[in-house]
Amino acid sequence: MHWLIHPATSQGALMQQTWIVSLVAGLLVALYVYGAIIWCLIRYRRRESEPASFTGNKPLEITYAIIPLIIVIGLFLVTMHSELPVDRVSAHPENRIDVTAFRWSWRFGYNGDRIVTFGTPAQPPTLYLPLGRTTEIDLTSSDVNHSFWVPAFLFKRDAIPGMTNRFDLTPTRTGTFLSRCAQFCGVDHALMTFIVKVVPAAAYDRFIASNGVAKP
Amino acid sequence: MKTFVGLFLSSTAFGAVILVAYWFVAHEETTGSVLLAIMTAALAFAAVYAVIAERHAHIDGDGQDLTPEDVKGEDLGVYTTHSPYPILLALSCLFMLLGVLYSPILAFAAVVAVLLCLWRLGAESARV
Amino acid sequence: MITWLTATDHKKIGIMYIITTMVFFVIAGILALMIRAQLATPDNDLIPSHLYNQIFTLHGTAMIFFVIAPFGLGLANYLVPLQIGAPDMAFPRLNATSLWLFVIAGIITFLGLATYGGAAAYGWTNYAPLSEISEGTGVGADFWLIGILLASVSTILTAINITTTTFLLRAPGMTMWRVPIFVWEMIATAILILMAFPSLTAVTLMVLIDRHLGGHFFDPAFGGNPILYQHLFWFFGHPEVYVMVLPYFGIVTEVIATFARKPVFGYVGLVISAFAIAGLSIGVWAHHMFTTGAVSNPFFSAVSFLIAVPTGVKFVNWIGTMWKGSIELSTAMLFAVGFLFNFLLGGITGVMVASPPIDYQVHDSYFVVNHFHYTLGGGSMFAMFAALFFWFPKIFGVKLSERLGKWCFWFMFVGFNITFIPMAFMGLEGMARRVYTYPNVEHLALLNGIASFGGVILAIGVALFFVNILVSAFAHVPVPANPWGGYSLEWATSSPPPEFNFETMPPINSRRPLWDAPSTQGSGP
Repeated sequence: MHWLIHPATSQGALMQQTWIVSLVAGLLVALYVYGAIIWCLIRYRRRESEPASFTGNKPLEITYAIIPLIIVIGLFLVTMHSELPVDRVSAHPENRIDVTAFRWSWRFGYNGDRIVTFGTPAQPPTLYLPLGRTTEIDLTSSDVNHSFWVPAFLFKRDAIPGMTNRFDLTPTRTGTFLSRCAQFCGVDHALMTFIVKVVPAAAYDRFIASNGVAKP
Repeated sequence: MKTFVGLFLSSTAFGAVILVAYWFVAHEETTGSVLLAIMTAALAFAAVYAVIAERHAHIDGDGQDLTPEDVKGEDLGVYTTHSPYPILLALSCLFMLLGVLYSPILAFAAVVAVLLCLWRLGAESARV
Repeated sequence: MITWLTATDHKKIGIMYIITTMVFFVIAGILALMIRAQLATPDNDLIPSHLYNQIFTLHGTAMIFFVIAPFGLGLANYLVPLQIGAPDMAFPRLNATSLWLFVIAGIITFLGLATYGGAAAYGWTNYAPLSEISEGTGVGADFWLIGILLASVSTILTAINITTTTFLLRAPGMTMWRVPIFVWEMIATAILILMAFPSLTAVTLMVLIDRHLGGHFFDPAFGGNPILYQHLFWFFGHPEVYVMVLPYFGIVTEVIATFARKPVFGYVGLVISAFAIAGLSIGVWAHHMFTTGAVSNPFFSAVSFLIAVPTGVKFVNWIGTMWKGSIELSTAMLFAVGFLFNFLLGGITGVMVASPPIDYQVHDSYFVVNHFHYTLGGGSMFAMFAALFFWFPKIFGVKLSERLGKWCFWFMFVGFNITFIPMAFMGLEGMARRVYTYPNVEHLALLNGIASFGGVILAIGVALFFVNILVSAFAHVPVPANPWGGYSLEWATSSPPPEFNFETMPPINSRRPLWDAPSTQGSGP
């Protein structure tokens, strides 16, 4: 699991739990059903003996309707356990960044738009995030639908013209993470990438204080 | 036919349940509520029609113990095998849409063609 | 030729439906191979972006609107009257109109390729406001919208026809609780179409109005709303998924029961679960919008999870039908079993993406590409081939070669899984869907290479099917009325059936008229 799902935010760590529970439940169900199908195919291949002629079994059918119901109720509870905290937006975020998607790159505005960076498809921009602090992202788009996707955070949210999406990110390890637009947006959609760089809080503070001169 | 009445009545009830549940959870999101309301209304319309139609219906398929012998000689109506108007109607619909976008004259001609096809189709079915 | 163009006989219409879907299936397959060729290596520049965008748009459009959904309707056109013992559909002329609207819709959609600027390139979902910005594609995108508009009307008309036919034209003794499961699944499909497709018609018209008549439905600068597009589109779009699956559930049920030599297990359960799936599918549309931040995720997540329950019931019934049976692994049965294997994986990833926190990672990524190809490709497409092998002798009076058929199945099954399993991992490694190129990071180069290799094997399997048709047509071994020992009414008449279907109708006093009255078996050449 480490290879594929290794979240770099506290929100991602919560969602990782949902991932693991769902994956294990799914694999167990798959093994059970595959086992039953393969058993039928081997054990009941055509032979001389006559096939049975039963047309149903009410108790068994009801049992096998209730078991999946219990499984999905369990999975729904596990889902809500991570969904609700991930979607909650802190009333007093320690940091706030405006992100605007456009065809085909990104605009990042720090500190109430006092520091603004743009990118191009050829020169993807970098988004700096402070380690251990909760950053609120205010996401919108200036033309068509886009989607802000950081695979290392196990997270994406759509950037939609005419509305602002707010969400919190709390990075838990430093690093450089390749990120991208996930919602198809035209010719250069494939090149609409950006880089997320999680930096120590002190370096981030210097970046803000120097009005963007001191790149972390 | 009773089965169908039950089918549409239960579908309507189900639509109403989903509508109410959705309204409680997400009433600030009006698009979904409106869509579900229209859908439930359509199902209710079909259900009411089914209830009324069921009173006068005599459908051979619903007779548990009917056999082909019992309905021998019954008039099943005339089934057509060929008609040139469906394909002409479909083509006219295409030109009607193309006309709306690119050429009012084409649109007008196509609307006339659509009406002609519908009229001929109606006349054909009336004849049999 | 003219007799086919003007035909209103449901069998001829069904055959023309099926042949049209096969033509589009081959075209969509070639487009898929072009996609795999472009993505075989990272940073590839074989196909430029603007062309690639047209290719994946047309691949998705063709498979959804012109192959998987209409094949089910076309087969229903052929089979429903036969299975309920009717001489034709209730409205033969309306039926022909549906067919030609559908054929013309497919042609006009693909004619976009011949226009200056090329075909539509917005993905099959055609999201506004992107689809309202003419970006190289003007006329081609209009043609796409006209095609979808005609196809949606055609589908609605067919649904009306199927519902009315099953209401009114059942043979004496063929009560509702005796019709084959395939007919029940088609009733559920038809009612679902009537509920969902008007939304597609409306949203397509709205985009046309925005593009040409100065509307601003989806333009936020003028008070429009892009989220409105997604609501209207997915209110059709998710039920559409089940329109593309329910008929295939019916096919698989008939094939399994016939080759296991056993009555369908839990007939009533299968009927109820079909309607439960259809009903619930109306309440899940916004699970395609979990990442928009504009919908109630818990509501849509809960209803999406619930769909797993009736689907699970169906699996129990299929396994129950095989249990203690006498299973003959013919080609049709192999494809039905292949359906069970692939569709189960699609269902399990489906339950995973019903969870918003998981969807936040995999939405619009190759994980989702894996998911829906397992349901619609490994699921519906395999069931489509089961249907083709099963009913081909009935429709054309010629049996397909079983030997070649088994080669076809194994190439397709192995090729399909080699192609699509790696895509789940690509998605988790951060590969978005609808990208014409990707950087050489993580294992993307390896995974895409494997997928492209699998695509070639899958294509060989599909090609073997068409070789099989040629070989079998050439050999032309005539078949009896009931070559597989089937139990439903279509096997009581000759292969192919005469005009108005039945010379003599067997008595119907159970769900299996041919098994319970064996004297009628094997009559006719």
